[in-house]
Formats: sequence, C-alpha cells, structure tokens
Amino acid sequence: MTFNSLSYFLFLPIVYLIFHLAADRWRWLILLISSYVFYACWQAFYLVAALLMVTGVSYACGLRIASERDESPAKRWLWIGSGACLAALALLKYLPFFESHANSSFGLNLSFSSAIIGIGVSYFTFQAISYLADIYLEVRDPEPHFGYYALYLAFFPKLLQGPIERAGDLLPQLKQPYRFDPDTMRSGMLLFACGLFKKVVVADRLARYADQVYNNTDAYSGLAFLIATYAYALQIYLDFAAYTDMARGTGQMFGIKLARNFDSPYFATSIADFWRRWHISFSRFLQDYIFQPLQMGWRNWGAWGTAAALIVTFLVSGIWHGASWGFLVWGLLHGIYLAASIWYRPYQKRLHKLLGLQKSRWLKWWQVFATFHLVSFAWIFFRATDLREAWYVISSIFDWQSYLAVKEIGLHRYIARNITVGLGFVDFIVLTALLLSLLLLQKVRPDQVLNQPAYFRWTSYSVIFVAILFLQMPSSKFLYFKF
Amino acid sequence: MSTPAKLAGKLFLFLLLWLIIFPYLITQTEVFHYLKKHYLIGGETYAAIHCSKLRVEKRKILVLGDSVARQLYGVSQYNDKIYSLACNQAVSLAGHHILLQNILKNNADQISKVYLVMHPVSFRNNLDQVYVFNYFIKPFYGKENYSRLTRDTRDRIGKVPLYFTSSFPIARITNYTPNLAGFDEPMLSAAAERKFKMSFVSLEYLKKMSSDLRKAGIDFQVVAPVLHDEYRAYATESLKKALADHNLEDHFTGYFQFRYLKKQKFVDLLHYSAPESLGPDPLRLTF
Repeated sequence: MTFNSLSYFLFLPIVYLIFHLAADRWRWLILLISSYVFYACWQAFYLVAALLMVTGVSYACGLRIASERDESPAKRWLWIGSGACLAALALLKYLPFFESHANSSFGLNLSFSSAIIGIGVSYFTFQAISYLADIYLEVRDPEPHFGYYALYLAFFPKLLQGPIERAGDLLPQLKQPYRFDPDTMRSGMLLFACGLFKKVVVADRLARYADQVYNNTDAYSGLAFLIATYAYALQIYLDFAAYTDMARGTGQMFGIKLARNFDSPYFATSIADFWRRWHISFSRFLQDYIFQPLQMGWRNWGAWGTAAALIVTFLVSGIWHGASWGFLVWGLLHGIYLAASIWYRPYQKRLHKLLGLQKSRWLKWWQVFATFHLVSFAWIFFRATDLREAWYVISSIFDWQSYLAVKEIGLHRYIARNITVGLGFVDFIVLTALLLSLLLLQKVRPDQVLNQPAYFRWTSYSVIFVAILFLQMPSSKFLYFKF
Repeated sequence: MSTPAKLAGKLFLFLLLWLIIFPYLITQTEVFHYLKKHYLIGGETYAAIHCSKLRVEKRKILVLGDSVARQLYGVSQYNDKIYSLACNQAVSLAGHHILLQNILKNNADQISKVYLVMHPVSFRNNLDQVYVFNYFIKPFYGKENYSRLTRDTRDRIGKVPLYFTSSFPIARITNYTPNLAGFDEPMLSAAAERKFKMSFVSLEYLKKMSSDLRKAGIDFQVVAPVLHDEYRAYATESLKKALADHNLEDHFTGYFQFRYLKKQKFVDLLHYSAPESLGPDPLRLTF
C-alpha cells in the first residue's frame, strides 16, 4: 500500500474514523495496529519480523543503557543494539549484492534475494539507532512504555520513507491527547493533496522523460542526456518531497507534526547549503552520528581530519543507497565537493570581497546555478545503470557536435528526439507549465490558502483536485522506496 | 467553528461533485470523445475503434497490429491502398479481433486482404500486463463487446484487480489505473526467458480471426516488422510449435525470416527512432 494507491484512500479514512471515535487511552494502540497492518500489506512477513526485532532489541537495549552507571557497559549495549539493527538492515539491503557475487564467484545459483524487498527498513533502523545513541549520550531518557516506543518506530505515515524522526520530537506528540482542530485537519488534507499532485502529476511525468532516455542510452545523444539529467534531478526531488508532504499531511490529520525533510534544495547556494535543505532528517542523522564522532576522533589532523570525515560520511551515505559503484561515486563526489570547500571557501570570500560582489543578487543566482549543476552532475552516477553508462552520458553531454544535428535531421525530428522524448509535444508543454507553476508557488504554504476567502479556497481545492484527476500519470512507486 | 461532522459533510459534497457528478456529465459530452482519442492513455485504441466503425471508401488492404505497426502505418487511412487500425500490443489479439469484427460489419466487401503486423514479443500478451486496464478493459470491456469475448477472456478480465472500476465515469475520463504491481509478474518472467512465445489468448483469437476471414473469403497474413538486433538471440521454436499444433502456419508464411536493424535505429527495444526513414509502405504490403 502506497500513499498514491486506491487502497490507501480507503485505509486512511477508516483508520481516522476509528481513531477519532476511540478514547485517548486507546489511540496509540489503534495507530500501532494500523501501522503494522499498513506494513503487512506489502505481503512480506520478514519486513514485519524485522520491524518487531528492531523494536524489541532497541527497546531492551535502551533500558539497559540507561540502567548502566559505568560508560563501558553502556557503550557495549549501544554497540549490541545498533549492531543488531544494522545486521537486519544489511541482511535485507545487501543480500542481493552478496548473492550475485557468490553466484558469479562460486558458480552457484542462489536466488533468495529475488523475492526480497527492504522497503522502510532503513528508516526504522536509523530511528532505533538514533534513539539508542541519544540515550547513551544522555540526551533523553528511555521510553518505558513499549507500545509508545513501538509506535514511534512504526507510525505508518513515516514508516516507508521517513522522515527519520528523533524520539524527542515524536514520542511526546504520540502521548498527547488528541483534540480535533478543523484548521489542522484541513491543512493536513491540503498538504497531502499538494504532495499527491507533485507525485502523480509532475514527478511521474518527469520520470517518463528521464526513464526513456536513461533506459535506452544507445538511442540518444547530448541534448537529450542533458535534459534527462535535469529531469531526473527534478524527478527525484519532487518524488521524495511529495512523499514527505503526504506523510506530513497524514500525520497532521492525527495531530502529529512530522519533520520537514526538504527546504527548496535546488535554491541552495553551496553544496553545504544543499545538504542543509535536502533530506534534512537523514542529513542530520549523518551529521550527528557519523560525521561529528569522526571529526572529533580526527580533530588532531585539523582541516585534513574534517575533510576525511566528510568524505567517509558521504561514502557511507552512498553505500546506504545501495551496493553499486554508481552510488559510491555519487557519495564520493559530494564528499569531495564539501571537503574541497574547506580550502577554497576563504579564497572565494576574499575574491567576492575584492570584486565587491558579497551582496550581489547575480552572485547568489550564479551560486544557485553552479550548485544545481554540481548536484545534477552527481545524479548522473546515481541514475545510470553502471559507471560505464554514466561516463557515456557525461561524454555525450559534452559532445558539442551532437547539439548541431538539427541541420542534418531537421527541426521537427530534432525536437522529437531531444526535447519532447517520451512525452510528446502537448505533455511537454503541460510539464513545462507545471514546473513554472511550482516554481512560482514554492513559497506558498497550505495555511496561507486556508486564510483566504471561501471562494478562493474552494477554487484552489478544485484546481488541485481536478489537476490530479486529469493530469495524473499511471501509478508508480516512489523512487526512495528502494533505499 | 467547524465540527468534524461539518467538515466531513463539506468533504463529501466536494468529492461527490468532482468524483461522480462532474465525470458523469463529461461522459455525456463531445469533449469526452476528444479526451479519449487525444489525451487518455491508450488513445490510439479509441482512435482505432472509431476508425473501425467507419465506412471505407475504396477497396483496401487492412492493417491490424501493435505499436510498432502503428509507427509504420498509423491509425486510419495510410494511403489509397492501405487502411490501418494498428494501435498497440496491449489491446491483445482479443482487442484486434473486435476491431476486425467491427470493420467487417460494414466493409466486408471493401477489404481485399488483412495483414496483422505484430512484433513476435507481442504474442506473449495473455491479458496479464499492467497496461491491460487502460488499453483493453476500458475500451473494449462493456455491453457492446461482452458477447464477443470468450468465457476464458472474461475470466481473465475478472482476475485483473479492480477491473469493474473501468465502467465508472471517473475512470473513463481520467488515466486512473488500479495498482497492478505484481499482477504483471508472469509477463516479466517470461520476457527473461529470451524466447518468443504464443499466449493462450493470442492463440485463441488468432484462430478466430483466421476462421472469420476464411468465412468472409479474405486472405490473412501475419507479418513481422524489422526487429532490434537484440532479438537475434531469441528462440522461435515455441512460437513455431504453437502455430503448427493449431494449423496456423499458412498465415505465417515468411514471418520468421526476420530482418534486423542496429540498436542505434531504435529508441527502445521495439520502436524506431525515425520510422519515416524506412520509406513508404516499409513492409511492402502493397507489392
């Protein structure tokens, strides 16, 4: 069951109705059962087993860490708990990789992994690890109530794709008595609808272009690869941001505020700024639990230690996305971008001062442009099937001759083969208009719409609703499900 | 201050308006016919259905076929000798059979020969693909064609998740598709076998087409388009055996003498990047 499926549109009102009618003391139980039903709908018993295992182990280890007075045994329990959670994650995530290598190295024919999906496992595992680390660092006390803790890990709006919630943010909200607030409810529904619009109308339309080109690299050349790379950059953002909007919208309906995961990342003025705006909950996780401990450990190396910590952190991020060289190079590139900035930033600042550009709007736009292109360049490795294909795409983009093919094949065919690929002319125009609308409306929040007169509100609802109905693409999964 | 009941009431009215009343009204207008052909997924199927009900002006060769055939011959009149109803493999041979019946109803005297231009992978369609809802069930499964479908076909349709929603006005005017993930697995695993294969549905309706056209005294041939180089490695035995077992070989004369083009000529494994470069009547159907 996904947020854009018909079954979810039946599931959500039923759960809400039961939740609304129930007494406060039972509401956690209703949400917990609903979350497990939601997860069980993937018809993979091992996913539910993994969730139960991670919940049980991290709950028990959390209590043990808090009960230990000495640091050494507490640390041991932290490692045991985190190790068990990571083992479950590694088993589900990397089994296909190990299996294919075992098959090729030893001539075996294993196929256990073909039926395995690891959806959601990363997210509840990371939450469990952050919970244990926070107890170890005495940032918070362990949760005594097993039910609330289980719900903290399993709460269905954020179960499959985050945000990775901190216990300190989510657990108190789960314990609060629920009071119906029409504005929160309407704002939640509107946020959900906006997310659905981004996913089924815009991101899935962008996917048509990106998939057609990246799945058939032999058939395309420079300009098509360039546009497909931009399309993929926008697709992955809108797809993921759409899921987060729908998760936050659903959470709001139940009186729970989930964390924002995106803050206009493609308007970032540097790679560091990009990572403050992109997949914020995951970036915070990496920063708090990988980068900072590494940086502390290597602080004697000065700038080199920070650079090494950045590169290792982003390599871990790459490996987390999957066992492929493409993800590794993607992580390495971001690590290098950030590490390099340690050295060039002072010179950059001096140069801007020398040229009197510090407050220039043009400088800001140039930085946005450059950051977007650096990020998009890294996305090529993320999207391509392997490194060879990524290199082919990059070399094709820089093959200027291919851009001039309009003379040979004529304008009509040039446009069809490079610009309207996979979409057709009308859909391409629709997509361009949609992207421009999103750009213009990016600062508008749902609660701003709710403060408008009734005719404006209902017109807005109708426009979004009708656009979803008429402009939706056939249902497809969210990109980040596989991570 | 809104109460939950008031809010629920407003939401109900909103959904009633946009999910039921508005879609129903649209289906009663000419806009719907435009939407079907030009905007909805499977629009080429609606265009083919429309063309199959028209009276053909001159005596013509009829082309039925998949999307590769459509790239080559389009939908509607191709030239003064060829009339094409080629649309998509996803309509399955059950859909092609209905198109054939439609055109024969008004034009049995005008059709001199029928060519079914099908890529060999298109014969795999057993109404078990993700596209079945938009390309086959929505356009063909209704009162008009119910009796033209065999019991087995109706049973297969019954296995498609939420197939019954295809008649809802909201489904008819939009690209709504039920989540068919998992439903198409047999098709995907079959594709991994690297062999051409004849599905039960294809076989059943090939026999029907053969029989109908024999009764009408119209010659019937199945023709293969030019294939992607990748398909050289595909085994043809299974397809040939199915044809031999059911005495359909006569319709496949020369079918297996495939011609191939390099991958650079394609936008994917099936479709050409520049079909017009193959010249007029690329499969020489009028020669």
